Amino acid sequence: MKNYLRNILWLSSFLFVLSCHPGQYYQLKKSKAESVLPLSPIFEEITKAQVYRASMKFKDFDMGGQLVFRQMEPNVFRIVLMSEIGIKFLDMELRPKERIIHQVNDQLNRPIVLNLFEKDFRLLLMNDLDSYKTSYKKNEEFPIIYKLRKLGKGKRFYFNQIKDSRLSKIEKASKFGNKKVRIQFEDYENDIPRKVTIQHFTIPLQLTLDKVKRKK
Amino acid sequence: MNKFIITMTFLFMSIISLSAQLEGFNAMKDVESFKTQMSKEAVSTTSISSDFVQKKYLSFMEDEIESSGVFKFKKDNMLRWEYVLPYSYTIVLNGDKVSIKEKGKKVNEFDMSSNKTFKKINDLMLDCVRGTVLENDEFDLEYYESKDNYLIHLLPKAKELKNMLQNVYIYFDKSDYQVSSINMTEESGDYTKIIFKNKQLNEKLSEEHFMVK
Repeated sequence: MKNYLRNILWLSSFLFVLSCHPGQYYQLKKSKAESVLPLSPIFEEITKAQVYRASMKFKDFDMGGQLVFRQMEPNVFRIVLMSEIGIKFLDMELRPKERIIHQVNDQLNRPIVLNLFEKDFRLLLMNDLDSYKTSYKKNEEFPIIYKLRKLGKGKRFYFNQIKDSRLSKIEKASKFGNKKVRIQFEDYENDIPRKVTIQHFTIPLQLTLDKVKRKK
Repeated sequence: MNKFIITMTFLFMSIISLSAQLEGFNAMKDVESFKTQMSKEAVSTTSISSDFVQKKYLSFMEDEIESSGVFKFKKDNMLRWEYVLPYSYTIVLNGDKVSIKEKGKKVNEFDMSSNKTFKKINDLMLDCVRGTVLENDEFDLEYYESKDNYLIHLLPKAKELKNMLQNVYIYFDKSDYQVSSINMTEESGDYTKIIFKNKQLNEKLSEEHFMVK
């Protein structure tokens, strides 16, 4: 009994220490909220469909295609991932609290894959910001960093660029502050990033999106 | 009730889509003669070079997504599908080997048998261009003709193919029995249309076109 209690005590102490681990974001400093504009989704004002060339890399396997998305109404997005020849892999609709699968290829039709795509697309499209509590941070490189928390959901960090205060990257971290996913936005044109890279850190998965130039 | 509405909507869209494809076409009068001629053309065609324009329609978009490029086929099973606009991307099929080239460099190579769905779509494309589509037993076929074209309507039999494509319409020029366009429609009414232009038959094509370095 004594040994059992001692083991429980050790385990509790270990878990306590682990939960207090500062993670990769401990060096961020607090910032004053008054000087910061509210965080708004990149594609919030854009109702025209966006077409990106998509390159997915999983381990040693590369797959190409196109990613098309459009905001159908505020906070409601339709997203299609398809091959070059137009065969759909996935046709998904994201609402703030609902996911509708319009079409999915047999190979992707697994809960773990669909959940992964849903989480990545929600992070990219930022259509669930209202449900998070926001505080403000900064470091030498980024004067404005939005830190979002939700009970049981880990943390998110949104880094704004210095020169034009555009969103430079989003990082999703675990409760303990370990980086899980990063979305990098580059080469903005008319307020839309021409290059987006979604990099996972817990699985060997990377999705690179390059905006496709289309006739007007 | 929702399921009923969705089913009726899809049914309605399918009827609309089918009647749009068949406008100006009647049931083919002499299917056997068409099949014989197709077989002859398939035997005598050793290579095809063509430009193509691809249009993807998604019901939630304002306009079609258009891309274009160059297509090359060499008998028996070599195919080069090269997108030039709006970006550079090449797929080369050589036997069972698939190679992909992007922005001028080879990015992927795999065996087609490792991906069943990919294989079925590519078999279909190969069958269309080499004139052997009438022998593809993955589909039920219907035959139509107009003044200038033959039209084969392909209906997928297998569930996994039906899940991706509801109908495939292949249009042939009556003058040379070559494919002039392909229209692949989905249950939702979305479609991909590929139009072939500037066709060159039986010109000498180097094997280099079907190798990606």
